[in-house]
Amino acid sequence: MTLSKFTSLLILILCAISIFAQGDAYLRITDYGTGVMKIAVPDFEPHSGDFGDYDTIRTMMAEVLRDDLNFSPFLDVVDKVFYPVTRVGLKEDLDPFSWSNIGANTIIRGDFDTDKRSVFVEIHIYSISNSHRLMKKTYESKINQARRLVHKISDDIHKALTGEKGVAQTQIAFISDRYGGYKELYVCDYDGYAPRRITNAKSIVLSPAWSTGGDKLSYTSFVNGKADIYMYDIYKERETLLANHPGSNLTAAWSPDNRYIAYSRVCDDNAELFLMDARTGEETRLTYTLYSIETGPCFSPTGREIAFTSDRSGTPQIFIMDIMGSNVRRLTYEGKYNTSASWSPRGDKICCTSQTEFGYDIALIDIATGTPMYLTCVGSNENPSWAPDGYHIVFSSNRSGSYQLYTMNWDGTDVNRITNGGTNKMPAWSCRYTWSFD
Amino acid sequence: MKHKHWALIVFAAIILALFAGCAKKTPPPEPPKVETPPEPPIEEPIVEPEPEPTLELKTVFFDYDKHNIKEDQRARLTDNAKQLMKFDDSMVRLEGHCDERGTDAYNMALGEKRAREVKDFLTQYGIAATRLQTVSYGEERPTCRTSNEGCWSRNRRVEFIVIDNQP
Repeated sequence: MTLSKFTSLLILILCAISIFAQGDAYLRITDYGTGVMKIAVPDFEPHSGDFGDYDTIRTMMAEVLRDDLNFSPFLDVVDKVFYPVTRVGLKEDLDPFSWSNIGANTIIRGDFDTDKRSVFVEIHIYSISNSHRLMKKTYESKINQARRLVHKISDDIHKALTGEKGVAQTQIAFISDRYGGYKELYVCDYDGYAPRRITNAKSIVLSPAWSTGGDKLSYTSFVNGKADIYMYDIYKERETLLANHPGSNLTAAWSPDNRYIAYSRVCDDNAELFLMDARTGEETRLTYTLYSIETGPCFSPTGREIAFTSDRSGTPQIFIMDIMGSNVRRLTYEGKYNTSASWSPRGDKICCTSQTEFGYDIALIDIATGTPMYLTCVGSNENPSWAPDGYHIVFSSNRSGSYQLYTMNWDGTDVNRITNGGTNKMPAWSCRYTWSFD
Repeated sequence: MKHKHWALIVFAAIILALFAGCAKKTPPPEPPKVETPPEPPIEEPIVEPEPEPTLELKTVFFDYDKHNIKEDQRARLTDNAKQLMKFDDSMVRLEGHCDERGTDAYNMALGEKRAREVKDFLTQYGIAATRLQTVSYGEERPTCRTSNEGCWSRNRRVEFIVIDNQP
């Protein structure tokens, strides 16, 4: 009798161990895979005593970290109301039974300290299944950079868990009329935080585009009474003229190697596509149609091809050609209006603004088959731009009554509004930055 | 012979005396002064200076997503052209616009095309191309902001702005 009881107990223990040992705390991302890792992010532990007013920074940092990690389509942050303990200070608090009850298999633990001038955070990632520590790293920044520091922490955690960096350290450029009704260029964090005005044209600014390193922005500005293309150096804080040919100079876009800027301008009395050498300004003409509009160029991530809008077939559609203008082929065959192509950094998909029977929607086109999938269905939706991870899209929509910016996953899920005041349109998502806080 | 001379002299003397007598005549008395009202100024019919003839150029409208000149717009465009032929030293800026639908970037190109179609029409009519400037504002400068066809059709337009000759 004793032996069988012992055996059954042993079997029970072995089963329990095998159940917990199943979840490996590393999620290998396959393209557009739907595997989701559930993680827990409790509030940061105060390292020493009472911080007074600065305690709000401690709680803010964990809040922002939860939002940053939840933004990933591969991570799901369990709501903290479900956590078995509110404070995770000691290893004993990492009781596997109670945490796995809420479905989380990974805990992010943070220790917070401040001397009222700087913040210090030590981050530990624990796998619940085997109480193994996956990552330990310390971070430091000035107090007023605490939020940006969280974005850096989040990207590091994302990389530790999935093998790819997140996009918390990115920026979104866009056009807003919130200042005096003029359409000016703005830049904000990926979540809409801290919008700041870049231009002072007091007229109309359109179509921002980032250089590949994220150090320059090109845009069309009416500062001189007509549509000319300018460039703004983010670090030198200087605006320079790029193109002011007679007629409208529109929709500039940077090649991935930053060597060329493609744009649309009038030549032979109709809008054609050109390449400009970013260093010398020398122009190369790419299209030679006589009666149609060619505009909205966008490079492929390899830099070998350009997608663009043309109405040469009668209505505006998306075409693809080689970078020097040869081998033009049509991509969109559904609908009578497809413009504003944005090529996914993953190379296999293009999204664009499409007119359907319901209005204007964001279409996701599989390049190999040309099949569109419509990602939106409410209001008028325009001007999609891919995040550098190829999993998120920012676009403008008037579904709330006025045009605002929204982010969403590549498949149209998890729509998130990120702007509020005025009218906000024409977003462009930057590359990933690697912020340092020395 | 001497008689004739003397006769002539006497004759002349008599004539002279007569004239002298005439000269010495007192002028006739002036007529009594009568107060007559001053004559009213002659009322010439007031002729207003001919009003400076001005250009009245009408806005031209377009169909959705199209840049060709519609049949029902040709009359007003032709009328604009005639006026421009008459006032042959004026310069005009043709401003192309679109309604709010569709992307801002494509609408900039569409507005440009509309302005150039109008310019083509006018140059083919005989107006010098150097008198015509084109600019596009896309959907950025609407005249109305409601989301219905009534407003949209008013925004799909090319406006004629007369500009000074001075640079």
